[in-house]
Order: sequence, then structure tokens, then C-alpha cells
Amino acid sequence: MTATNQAVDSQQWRLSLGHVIRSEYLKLVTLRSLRWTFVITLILLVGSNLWAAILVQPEDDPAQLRFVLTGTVVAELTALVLGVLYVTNEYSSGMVKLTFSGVPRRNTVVAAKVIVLGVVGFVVYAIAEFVSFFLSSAIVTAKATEISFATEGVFAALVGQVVVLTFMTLLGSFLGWIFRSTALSIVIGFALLFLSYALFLLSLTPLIPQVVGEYAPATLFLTTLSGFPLVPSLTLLELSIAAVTYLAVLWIIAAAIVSRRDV
Amino acid sequence: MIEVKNLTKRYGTVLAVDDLSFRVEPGVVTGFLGPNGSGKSTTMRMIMGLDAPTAGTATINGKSLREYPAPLRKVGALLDASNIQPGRTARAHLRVIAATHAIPATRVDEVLSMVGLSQVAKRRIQGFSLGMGQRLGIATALLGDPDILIFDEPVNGLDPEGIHWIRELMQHLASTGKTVFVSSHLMSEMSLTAEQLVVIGQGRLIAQTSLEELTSQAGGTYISVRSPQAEQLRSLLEREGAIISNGQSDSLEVRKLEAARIGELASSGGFTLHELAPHKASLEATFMEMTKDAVQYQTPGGSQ
Repeated sequence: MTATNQAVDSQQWRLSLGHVIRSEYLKLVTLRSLRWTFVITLILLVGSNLWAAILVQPEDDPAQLRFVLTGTVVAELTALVLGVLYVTNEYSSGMVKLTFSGVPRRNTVVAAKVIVLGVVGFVVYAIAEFVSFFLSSAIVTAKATEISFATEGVFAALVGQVVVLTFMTLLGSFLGWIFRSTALSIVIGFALLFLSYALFLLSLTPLIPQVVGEYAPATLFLTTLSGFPLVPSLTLLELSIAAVTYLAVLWIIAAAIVSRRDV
Repeated sequence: MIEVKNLTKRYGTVLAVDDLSFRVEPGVVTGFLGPNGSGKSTTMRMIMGLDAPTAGTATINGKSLREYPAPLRKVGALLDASNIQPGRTARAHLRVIAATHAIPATRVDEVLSMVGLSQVAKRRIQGFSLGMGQRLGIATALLGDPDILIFDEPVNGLDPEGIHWIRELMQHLASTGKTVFVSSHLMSEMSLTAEQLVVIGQGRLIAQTSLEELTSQAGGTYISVRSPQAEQLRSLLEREGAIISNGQSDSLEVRKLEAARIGELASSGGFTLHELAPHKASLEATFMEMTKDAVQYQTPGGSQ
């Protein structure tokens, strides 16, 4: 009897979400292209914050400085690409057939990917966001005005930005599940963000109600925490609830499609 | 046991599998034969639950794969060896699959050793040859030590040593009571590997038979005899119980009599022999005859 049989028979073994999560975590850390996309996202995140800090002038409005340090729009786009690649890599390589052969209940795989990407993304983005704030605030404090975690609104803005980056990554992964193609998913992801941003701009005119623009996802995330002056500020809780709601809807759509479609 | 009942798969206007029914029993290697595009891979994907049937069922011991608590332990499949993320190492690839079923790292090393890839376990798959990729795909199928193994064209890309190895592996697996279902479009390959055959063409079942029955259907083995006194020799051999067909001028096709016995009889009767050669029936020709109406991509005169 092999080691496998012993393990299976002795434990009356049953496939569980926990084991699929472990497999999906291994996929994330053992694929070079995914690691590099993560690294690029982090470089953009830290780099753009440091660059913003270097450009700060003493005469700048102190009220806006705390937001400058969390301005990571470019990192948000690569975070979306990371989420897309994590899923579409499986389709483009054909690996998804092996994955679903071993785990025929496909929504277990979808759930495992969401959990792995959500948790790993949140932790890594949080570390990068706080490290970059630590460095940037030192530069800004030396040049212009004192900024620290204790400054009003900073902590919530930083955590909010981590939520936004994690949202972007998960949004990308759901688009990947729905469209399967890397290029198509990225194009649709970017299109959604810019369309949403356009909705926001239109909401400033009488053409469409203001609330539509304010709660369009891209507007919500791209502008609120980046210090865009026109958007009413959301609390961290409101932002998180909005993010979870959008993701839940996408999750339901993706799960319905993945469970029915031929691989 | 794999059981396929009235399985049908339609892609738009294309009927890939058409009311297909057959059973694959444990303990023997069952060959799944058919020309290119006959629906073999589609059928295998439906057995693995990757494609949903338009009608009918494909079950494993009466249940669909998704009903098993540990699917990898029940069925291992090599559907397409290129279905691998090439950026990983061979070992990392197997660890990813193994993790879903808590299969220990020792088993990963065991299957790498079984397929002869231990030396390259830490190399990225993108540098692998076609044959190495095929071996890795087989290692993946064996990972859970499953009762049922499904191989889609497993000898593709393998060198002669590799082909010999996989033949022996499949026969060994079947001898331990496992169900081994292997597809090929080459009768010559299946005649050396399989005991049972499922032959399909254009998605329909053409025959489910044993290799022995097919050999018999093809005319079995015969001894080719050439002699300037063929007619007299024919009478002598028929008196000894031989069945002779296609006798033309100086040649005879003799069945039911061994070559050695024919030689002895010819010698004792003073007959001159120009040829005394055993011939195996051409299974390839039989297979082509069976599937000639079902070949999708045919060159002019191609099935001759």
C-alpha cells in the first residue's frame, strides 16, 4: 500500500475547502509570472507614494497631503491585472482541466482562489501601504508639514486603500473566471473602471443623478481615498460594505457560469 | 468500472458524440480506438466531468466523479500533457495537485521516480521535451494511486523506450485490478497494449470487442506456402485438416496447421517449397476497414 492509500484510508479522507485553499496558495507562490506581477504592484505602490512625497511643496494645502500619500491609482490597475492573471493563467495553460478533474465541485476552487487572493492580497498590500506611508511621511514631515498615523483620517485612508487594492485584485479574478481570456478580462476591467469614472463625472451634471456616480465602483475607489476633492468621503465601514457587495454580486455571477460551462 | 450510457455531446451544429454506450471493466487494459476527430477526447472529458453531456451519462462505478469524496483517489487522468503551467517545476506542479487531497510529499517523489523524472524534478516544465511532459502527465494521473486510470493518447511524443515503458506500466496497472482506459488512433499500438477494445467513428460506437475476437475477425494467423506443386500439396494439407484459402497458382494461405507440420508433410511427400512463412492478420487493415466510413479527415486514397 502506498503512502497515499494509507493517508486516505486511515482518515476516511474527504476533499475539503481547506485543502483546496492550500493548493491554490501553492499555485500563487510557485508561479513566477504571478510573483512578478505582485512585485510590480508593490513597486508601483511604494514608488508612487514616495514620488508624491518628493514632489510635495511646503506651500501645499496640508488638508490634502494625507491623501497624496495614498494615491495609488496605477497600483490599483496592476492589482486588477494580478487578479486576472491568477485565474486566466489556468485557462491559457489548460491547467484548469487538471484542477477541475481533482476538484470536480468547481465552486470550491472559485472560493479557494477568492480566499487565497483576498487574504494574501490584503496582508501584502497592508504591509506595502504602511511601509510606504512610513517612508513618505518622513519626507513630507521634513519638507512641509508633520504627518503621522495619528493625523486625522490617515489611518482610515491607509486601510481603505488596502481594501481598494484587494477589491481590485478580486475584481480581476472574477473577470478572469467569467471571460477566461487575459486580454479580454483586462480590457473589460479597465473599461468598467473608466466607464464608472465617466458616470461619476456625468453625475456632477444634471444629466444623471449624483448618487449613481458616487456609488459607481471605480469612482468610489479611484477617487475617494486618493483625495479627489469632489467626492463625498465615505467611512471605512461604508467603503468595505460597498466593496463586499460588488464582489458578492460578481462572485455569484462567476460561480454560476463556471459551474455550468464546459472546460 | 466506467459506464457510458447513451452519451451524446453536441457543439452547436456539430454532433461530437452520438448516443454512445459502452463499459470499461477493471483488470484489463481497454483501448479506445477511433480516427482523429471521432469523439474519443470529448468522451473522456465527459467521463471526467469537464464537459457536460447533451444527453446520457458517464459514470464511475455508478456515480459521477463529483460524487466521490476524494476524486483524485478514484480516477487519475492524462487528457493532454500540455495542460500544465510551464513556469512551475515538475515537483511544484505535482505538489499543487497533491495538496488538494493531502497527498504527502513522499508520494510526489514516488511518482516522479516511477516515471523517471526524479533527476529533473526541480527543473521548470517549460524546458521539458514532449516526452518528458507526457511522463509528467502520467505522474499526475498516478498521484492519487487511483482505481481507474484514463489516458488520452499517452504515447504521443514518447521515444521507443518510453512507449515500451508505458505499455508495461498500463499492463501492470491492469494486472493489479485497476481499470485502465487508453485512447489511441493507432491500431498497431493498441494491439500490443489492450485486451479489450472500444472502437468509435464519428461519435458512434462501431464495435466493443476483445483483441482476440478482432484478430479472429481479421482472419487470424496463417502460413503462406509457395510451391511449384501447390495443387498436389493442397490436397495433402487438406487431408491433414488444414483450411486453405486464396490458393493461387503456386501459393497457398494455410490455416489450422503449424508451419513445422507443413514442412514435415511437404518433405515426406517430396514437395519442393519456395516459401513457408507465418503471417499475422493485419489488425490495422481490419481497423481501417471498420472505420473507413467514419474517417473525418481523409486524403484521396487515404484509407487504402
